[in-house]
Amino acid sequence: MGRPGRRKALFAVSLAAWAAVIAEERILSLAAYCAAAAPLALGWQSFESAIRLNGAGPLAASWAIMLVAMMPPLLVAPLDYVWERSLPRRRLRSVALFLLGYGLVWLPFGVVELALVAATHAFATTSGASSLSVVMAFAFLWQISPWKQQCLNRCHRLGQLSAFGLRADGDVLRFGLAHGGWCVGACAPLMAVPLLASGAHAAVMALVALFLLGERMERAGPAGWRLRWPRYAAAASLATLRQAIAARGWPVHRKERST
Amino acid sequence: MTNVRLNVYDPAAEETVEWYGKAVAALQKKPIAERMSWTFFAAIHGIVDTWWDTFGWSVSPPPPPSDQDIFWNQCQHQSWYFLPWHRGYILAFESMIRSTVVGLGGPESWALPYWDYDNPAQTDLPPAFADPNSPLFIQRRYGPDGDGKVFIPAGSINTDAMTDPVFTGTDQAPEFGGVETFPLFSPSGNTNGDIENQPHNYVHGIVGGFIENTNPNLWKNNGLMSMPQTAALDPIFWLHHCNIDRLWAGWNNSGKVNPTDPKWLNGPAGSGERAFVMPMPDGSEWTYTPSEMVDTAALGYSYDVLPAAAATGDLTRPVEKAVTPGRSAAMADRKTETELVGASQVAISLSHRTTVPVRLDPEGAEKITKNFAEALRSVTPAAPGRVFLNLENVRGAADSMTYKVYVNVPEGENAEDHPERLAGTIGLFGISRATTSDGPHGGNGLSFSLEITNILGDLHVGDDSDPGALQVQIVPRVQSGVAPDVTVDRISVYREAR
Repeated sequence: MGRPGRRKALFAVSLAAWAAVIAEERILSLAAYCAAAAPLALGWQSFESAIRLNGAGPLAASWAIMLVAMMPPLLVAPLDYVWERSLPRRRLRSVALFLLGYGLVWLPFGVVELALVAATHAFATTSGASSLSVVMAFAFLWQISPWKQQCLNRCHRLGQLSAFGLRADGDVLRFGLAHGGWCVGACAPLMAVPLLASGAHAAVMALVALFLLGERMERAGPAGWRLRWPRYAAAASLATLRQAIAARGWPVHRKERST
Repeated sequence: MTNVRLNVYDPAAEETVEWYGKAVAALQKKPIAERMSWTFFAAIHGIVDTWWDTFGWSVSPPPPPSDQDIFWNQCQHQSWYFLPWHRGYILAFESMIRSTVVGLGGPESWALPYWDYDNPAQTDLPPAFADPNSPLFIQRRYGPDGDGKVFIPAGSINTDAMTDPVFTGTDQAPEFGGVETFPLFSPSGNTNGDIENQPHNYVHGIVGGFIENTNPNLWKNNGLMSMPQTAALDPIFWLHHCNIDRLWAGWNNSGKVNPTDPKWLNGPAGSGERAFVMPMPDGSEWTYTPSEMVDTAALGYSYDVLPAAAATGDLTRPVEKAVTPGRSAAMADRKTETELVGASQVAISLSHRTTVPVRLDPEGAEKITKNFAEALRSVTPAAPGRVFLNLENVRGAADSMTYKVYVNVPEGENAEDHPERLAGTIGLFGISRATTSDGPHGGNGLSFSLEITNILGDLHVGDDSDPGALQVQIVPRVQSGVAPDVTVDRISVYREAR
């Protein structure tokens, strides 16, 4: 399968998962619960309640579906790499092992995210601020920090992959784990935001997904404190739009009307 | 009026070189803040203030930040824009020199000469550049042995890239012009195109070199030509790139076409990135795209002699299929599909001469053998599928290092006695920038691809060597007291999958 074919497959998987996200209501019951102005929902209690309300299994499934919806476009680069650097007979196996390593980092991180959300909710309730604004403030601080850039840079790093036998299995699994780790560093704070956006959960998730995808396309750069946003993706999208309009011959300005 | 670019060794070019020297001297007197100065133009390729300062090139007062943002650090490497960007760069440079030459009383027909180092009689640095009294002389030009004697060692470069059938390639088979830059979503920006690798990168490293018996990992020991951030300060840079440009013109002249993909034609500006732009002698800013760089006649120049079309040979040489314009156009944007056939272990040091076993997968090796057998058996000569050796993600800080790469040198024998087993040479031009994790390459270093179809053809024809593993020997040009800190992630073999 060539690059275009593989890309289509990844996007198809992602779209299917998005359909499940939109159809599914369970996440909303968590978000609605946490975001509600419930003064008794403090810290560990709210975390426990969320689990009891929804059940740990369904919560884990919701998190997994969210990952399957958001991650495939972000994984085009490392998956292309794993595919092209593997022996033909090992390609699917290598891809599966990479995804296993990646998933082994991200899936449990759902628990961490939930705990973080609960903790911020506790902090928010006692301080009077809304938990959404606390999470957004933290996400913003992380976004402009040098550590975010370091994580983004490391996301570009390609792993060393042996070609044969158990070594190959180990290397690609390790690559998946490492990539997952840097991905968590780059994306996790922003991923907490949709968890708290009740009523607009899927829409906020989509916005965050687009933002993260745009960021993934930026080149590596020097770390430091600065406002960081997907400049290249925005410029490229604008340029593509302009070209598409020009190709259709649509007039850009309506100047032909004479007075 | 078409200006003709001459071979620097042609007696007719003597006057050209003299005027070049005078213009260089005049331009070097101008401050860097002026667009039409030697240093401003060199900074368009790349600049690092501290390095330039250490090397004695004044960087202050600097030009306004707007000029720096628009013009400086533009050079396109490990990218399919490598050839078109440099074509525009040397065209603008030629205009600057010409206008300076005319100002000094010289001819309006002045054109940039080229150095045809592929000609065995022209491998020495052109004499005018080696003369310490000439403005074309540069002290920080150390040559292959680090002693200031500059020449291209025999048998170290080739123009095999001229046989590449298409312009755009992949990371495993980069083809003539290189790999698409930063395609949406995908990793890129590490692999050298075939002509960029050979002879371009190699000549940079061999001419610049590093001071003999010093640490090659330190930038301050390198020649100017060894590093992208200082290379354009050396007057020989321009003759080198003129030759690279001439090779591109020759490749087109033999019937092979440039990409028709709008992403290439429109350049990075088409994706909202910084445009290619050069300052011109009349004070204007010339913005250009690769689409405007495809025809030298349209740009007002030609070469006295274009390189001959790649010769066809016996079946173990890559056979040139007759390339009709129609067929070539159809192939213009085709990406070569490849399959991994074998690889070495990971994380190999290239600090010393080393032999690396590259284990071949029996399935893949069998496909290659069958392919060769079919090609030999067929009634009309047919080219076997190509096979490539990849050096994946070479990392380090020794920009000036160059290596020879041999495949299956008979055991116990000297590699240098077996030029028929030489896969090619590589130069690590730009490696330190490619290795820093906060640099644009994301710390992935540089990747190289060398075609080894010929060698494997020889191995399969009458040789009993076991195709189970290839023995790849990598030989550094210089072995100084301090070893170069260079590693390669993996050495692999890919076959063209048809």
